[in-house]
Amino acid sequence: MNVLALEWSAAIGSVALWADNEVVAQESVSYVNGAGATELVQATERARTVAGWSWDSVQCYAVGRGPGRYSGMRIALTVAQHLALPGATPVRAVSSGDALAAEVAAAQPAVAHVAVVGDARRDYLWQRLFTVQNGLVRAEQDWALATWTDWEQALPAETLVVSPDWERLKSRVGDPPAGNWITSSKSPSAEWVARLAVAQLQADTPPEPCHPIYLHPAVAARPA
Amino acid sequence: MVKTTSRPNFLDGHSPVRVLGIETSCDETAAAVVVDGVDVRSSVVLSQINVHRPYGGVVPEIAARAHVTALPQVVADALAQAAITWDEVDAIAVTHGPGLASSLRIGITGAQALALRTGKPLYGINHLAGHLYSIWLEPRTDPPETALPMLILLVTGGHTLLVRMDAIGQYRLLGQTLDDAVGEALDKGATLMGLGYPGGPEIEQAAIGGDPERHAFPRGLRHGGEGFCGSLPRELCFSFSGLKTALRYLLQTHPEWAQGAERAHLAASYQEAAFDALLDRIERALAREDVTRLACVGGVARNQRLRAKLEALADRCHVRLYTAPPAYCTDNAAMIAGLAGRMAQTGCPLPSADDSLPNLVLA
Repeated sequence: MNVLALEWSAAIGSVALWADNEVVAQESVSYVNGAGATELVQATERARTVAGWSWDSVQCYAVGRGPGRYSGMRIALTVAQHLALPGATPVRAVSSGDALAAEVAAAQPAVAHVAVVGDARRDYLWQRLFTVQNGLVRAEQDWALATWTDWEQALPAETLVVSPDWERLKSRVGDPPAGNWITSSKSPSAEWVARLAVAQLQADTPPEPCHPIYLHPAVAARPA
Repeated sequence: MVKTTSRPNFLDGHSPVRVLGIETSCDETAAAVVVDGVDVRSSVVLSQINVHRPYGGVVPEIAARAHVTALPQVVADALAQAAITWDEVDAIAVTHGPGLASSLRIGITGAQALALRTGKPLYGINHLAGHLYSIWLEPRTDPPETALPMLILLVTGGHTLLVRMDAIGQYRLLGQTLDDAVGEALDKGATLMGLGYPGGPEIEQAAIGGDPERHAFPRGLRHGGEGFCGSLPRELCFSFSGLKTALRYLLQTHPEWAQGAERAHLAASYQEAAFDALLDRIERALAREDVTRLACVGGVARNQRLRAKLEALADRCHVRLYTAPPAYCTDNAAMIAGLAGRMAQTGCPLPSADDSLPNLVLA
């Protein structure tokens, strides 16, 4: 299956063209200098040109839906859905954080747990805990907000913790830290979004909605 | 200063020109297909009013979230209702400003992806210019070649402008509001009177049977004077903050007037004061500008009382009046697609849609 995957829920976004269990082309974009939709669209075209794919050869679009940066999630989801419209091509949205957990677990299959956390601002983390078995991850809970204290207390010992926001979070990590942190920011990748989407399709998993995962409400306080 | 680069007009002289328009500058998710700038084949508008109503105004984050969810289906519906295929679309036009940055970005992103996927040219259209063009979505309007030059009042929830239009793409701003837009003043007045959102239609409804002369609300900048506001003559500018404040103080003294029969008089008087200020500036502008045609566009142009007052003014000043069709007064994509098609056919330079321009100006 030819999959064109897009991911931009963290600082580094990416595009990957995936076929026959491998990446055939990929490009990355970053938020440097106020990059936006134009950069992701151009990266998509570069990757497609490198792969030599026609648009009609794309059989599925995969896209990361966060959680993470609102602008990037919205851009990636909007690009994927509108690339898909003219050909009525299916779009598979997957959690970007799930893709990140799967990538980390594949690299370190011996760990028992992986936690993916991000800076949700307003003194909250967004977070999800995964159990690892044979290098594959299984989510233990939904994506949720947590205070730093509550999250640390609930974290199983020796959990491998990964975050796209390490630079912002590192000043909060205690000594000794809860969990075993990967000490650099790691953005989810389009390659792993594609892998996850294909795996879900093969397992006939019900699709996730093509909306960003927002953990904060749109408005902090409801009107009186 | 905004950056607007022109791109080659691929459609110069091409006919028919079928343009897909996309509009997400505020709280309406809209797409339309317009042929040759005037023939509206479809116009799909998904209003978010119900989700913003509890807040008494548009919440940008709610609007952006809703656009992401709604836009793909709105675009698909516009194509389906127009009964044309993607191959038959000649160009894509999208509002690139002014508006809410996070809302504009969704429309532009979708349009860029569609342009990449289909290979169609993509143009960025000024939302305000789209509103000005909306009178040509009414088939009975004289074509621009004979109708222009024209004085146009643009009245929405975010803008109140008095514009001289000499040709498609050639605008001269004569006056604008110095504080609130008239639609915003109506929204806030409605809130003070305990009416719903959006305030314009609520006040219009509440004013039925009311005496517009019962309460003497101020007509902002009635005595405009000789000075300038920036580069604009003060006598052609608007101010609605005093009107709003007057209503607030009146209701502090007589809170019971926001209820019962008196509310109709209050709403009628408030609305009348806002519209009198608009007409006063129009009359001054007509005296300064050598034009015989007048138009009113934008969401507030739907108001029947305003239309009646404009018709009376047009008769008195011996000018011909054009108003946008009610369906195209509020935000829509037909005006965006229509203007793009018209500009393309007449060889006007068309801007690219590389980025959102929240503070884009008309002229």
